[in-house]
Amino acid sequence: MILKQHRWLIVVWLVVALAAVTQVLFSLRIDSDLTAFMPRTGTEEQALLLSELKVGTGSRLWLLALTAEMSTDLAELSRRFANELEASGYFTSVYAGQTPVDAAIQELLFKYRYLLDPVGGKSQFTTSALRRAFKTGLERLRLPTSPFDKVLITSDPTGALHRVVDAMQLSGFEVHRRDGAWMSRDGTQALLVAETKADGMDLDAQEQVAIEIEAAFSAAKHNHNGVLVVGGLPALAVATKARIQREVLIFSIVSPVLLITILYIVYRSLSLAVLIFLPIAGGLLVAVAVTSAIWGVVHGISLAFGAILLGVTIDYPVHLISHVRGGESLAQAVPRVWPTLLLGMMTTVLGFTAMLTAEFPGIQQLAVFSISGLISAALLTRYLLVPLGVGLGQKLPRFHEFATSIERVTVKAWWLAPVVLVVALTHVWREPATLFASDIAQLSTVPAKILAQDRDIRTAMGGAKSEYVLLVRGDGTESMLQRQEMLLPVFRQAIDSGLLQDFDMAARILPSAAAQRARLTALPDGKTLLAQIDDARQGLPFRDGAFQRFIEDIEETRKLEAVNSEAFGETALGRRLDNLIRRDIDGVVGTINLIGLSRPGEFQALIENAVHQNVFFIRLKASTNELINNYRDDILVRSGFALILIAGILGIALRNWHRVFRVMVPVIGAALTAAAIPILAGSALNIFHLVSLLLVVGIGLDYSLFFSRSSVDAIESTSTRHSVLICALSTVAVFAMLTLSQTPVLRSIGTIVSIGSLTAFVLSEFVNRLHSHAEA
Amino acid sequence: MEAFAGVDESRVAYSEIKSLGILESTLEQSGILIYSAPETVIREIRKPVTETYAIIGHTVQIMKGGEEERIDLDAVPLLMAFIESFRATLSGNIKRLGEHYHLDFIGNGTNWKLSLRPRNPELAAFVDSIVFTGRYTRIEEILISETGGDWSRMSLVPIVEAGDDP
Repeated sequence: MILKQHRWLIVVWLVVALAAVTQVLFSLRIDSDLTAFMPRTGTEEQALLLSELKVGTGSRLWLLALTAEMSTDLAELSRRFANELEASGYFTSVYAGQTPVDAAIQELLFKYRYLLDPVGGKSQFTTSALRRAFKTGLERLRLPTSPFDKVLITSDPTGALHRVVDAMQLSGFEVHRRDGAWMSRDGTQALLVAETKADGMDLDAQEQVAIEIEAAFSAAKHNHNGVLVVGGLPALAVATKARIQREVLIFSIVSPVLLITILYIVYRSLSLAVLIFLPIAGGLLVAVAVTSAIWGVVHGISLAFGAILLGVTIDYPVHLISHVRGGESLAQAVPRVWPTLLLGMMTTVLGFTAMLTAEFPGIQQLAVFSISGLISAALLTRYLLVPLGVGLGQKLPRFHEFATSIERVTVKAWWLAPVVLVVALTHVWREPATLFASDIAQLSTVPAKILAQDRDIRTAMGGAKSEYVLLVRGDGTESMLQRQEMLLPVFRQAIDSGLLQDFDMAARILPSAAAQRARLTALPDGKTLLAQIDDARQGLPFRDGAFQRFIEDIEETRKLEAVNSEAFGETALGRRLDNLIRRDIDGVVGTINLIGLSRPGEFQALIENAVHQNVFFIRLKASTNELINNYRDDILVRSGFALILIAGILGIALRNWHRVFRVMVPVIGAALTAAAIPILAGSALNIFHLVSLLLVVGIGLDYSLFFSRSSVDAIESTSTRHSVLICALSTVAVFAMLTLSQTPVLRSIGTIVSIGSLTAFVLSEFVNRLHSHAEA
Repeated sequence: MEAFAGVDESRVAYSEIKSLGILESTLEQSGILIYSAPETVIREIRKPVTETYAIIGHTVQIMKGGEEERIDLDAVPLLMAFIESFRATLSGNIKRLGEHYHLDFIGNGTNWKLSLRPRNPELAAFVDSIVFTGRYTRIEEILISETGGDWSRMSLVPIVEAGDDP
């Protein structure tokens, strides 16, 4: 009957729910890119750093390591595996032991050798230089390899090709080789590197690649025993995604069951327990739909954060139902509960509004997610649960007596919070460094085991990715390459003084057009060259005309245009160039990987003395940490403002500063205590801790707002105590579960929220009881 | 041929004459060849310079004036096939030899001649034939004829060193 009256409400709700479900089903993409939690703007160096992390070298590389039984030939297994991988069609290239310069590239390099030759110039073609070159050629002709070498000796006597090929090899990336396969130093693992066609951030595709790699490995090992270990950025991303998805799935199944069980026990009615769940689930659904409508993707972290929302939104229906008196309908309790509930919700939303302006897309997402979830859960409680819950909740809930006697517990336990707080503050005061985490690794969503695997493979490969890079900016490729060439003397100096082992940069593969043209003009004409060759071969056994091909090639080269990056196309070198050159709206950025840099400070000074503009020295790890620190400070300041704002709003809404004080003290106390526990446990606070603290603030506000009401009568104050107790119990139950997660972020969130909500309950009960005793 | 399969290690002195079209005179050298079953062939050049080439598995190690250089044979498949002709002959591995070359054996156990012609057209573009001549289990001469008329002839003489069985 009453259902009939509210038919329109149900229709509206169904339409909204359907729209939300459609949005979620058809466009939900879960993202696990950690860079979403980094700022979009900032200094140029920071912006460059960010794109380096997103699309820089190596984001498409899988690192693979094989071990096998003694009886299996590792090199042979590695070759078969490489063939299977290549045949799968998912990879642009598979490196299992080949040299980076293959026959096709060699042909290209041969054609352009005099333009690419790093020491090209007039001095190469003097009579004495040619004579030295001819003598070396004669030595090479004595070798058993002469049938294959003699054409090169006579067509490229100055050894330009050799120098060109040599310039492209990196000394820092030597991998041990056995029988043509890359091996770890101890020889127990065969190593491969596979570059995917798919983008490193395209996790769906990378997931498929992971399956393909497994299949290729089982096909390759056939019936031998072998173990495959994977590493590299895509492997880390896939593992993270899989784990986050699995944990979120488990969490999203277990936590509703847990909650409904608790609510059933408390309210003695299954339909009521399920009904209470409606606003929570609805809020979550709207949050996911809104977030995915705005961003197109929902970050895995936001989704996990949705779980946190449960912790706050469950309070709304619980408050309502616990305040229903015998014989009352839900609607009758609304006037007593709704104003406080609304105030709690609005102040919590206010806290998150501060995050909306954060420069981190990931944090903005969390804020939008939380705000839309909170608002819709409150509205659904008022306008969906109330009409639907007619006739329910007539029985007195359980634990009423327990709630009445709860003050005995808080009388005994209230001192716990201040004690924890004092101990933590002393701890922080003595070792301020322990307060905040500055290492990005601690923020990682990647399970520790996978990280260790990755590190092991990189170590085995001998050349871990350099931690330091120089970024060189130019209006176009040419100006960027010229700037890189200007750095060459500095690099030479750094290598000679032992500061640097090697460096990889685009200009080393592709010299600037200006440099190529300079080499071109240094080439002698045919007649001059012939005369010099004739002089140079005096007294050597070379016949007249032996170097005809050399003369012809120089003539041909003189007709060539400077070579550009397109000439390298889809070759291995072309791909290496692609990784080293990046275009953005302001022009072109060239990455220089610094390999084996021993004293970064000294090197940076060297670079800064040599060039002043458009070259940025970046310490990947340190800069990333700095980013995170800036961001964390930003959140701290915003949270401070949010707290002041919340106090102000409370002051206006309550018009009672004494009550504002009673509301804020437990809130701040709970937040500080929740922050103190992880510090005492030895883990520094990270950004996720801080965002979770905002939720603790929301939860605390809710509890203390209810406790601080001047109750109409004893029944009402018992109901309040009961409802807050149930809220706290269910929140702690759900979040204690999160602390079991393997993902560091989820664990942080679980710890903070469960401790925070427990403390908020104890403190607000205590503070407000003191007050009522004082009044009495 | 199969008789070679029983040899674990052998050392012979060699002298080589190489004739190249681009040079007015021939190049000569001499030294020692060491074969160690199944994968290692070492050429120690004694004259006119001192250099050592060791072919072990898929790598060539070059030792010259105290410096060592390595060439990865997988990167140079032609060289690999070329080297296989010596290694497979010395180890008596006719099957492997047959994979890389057309074989032609003339003679008997006492006096014989084994001619190899590359199957791989890329190798055939450089090398016309490799001819081993020998008596019993001894190789006495290796003649490499390159396309375009260049050639090298290596003569092998067993070494009797103090302490060795005659």
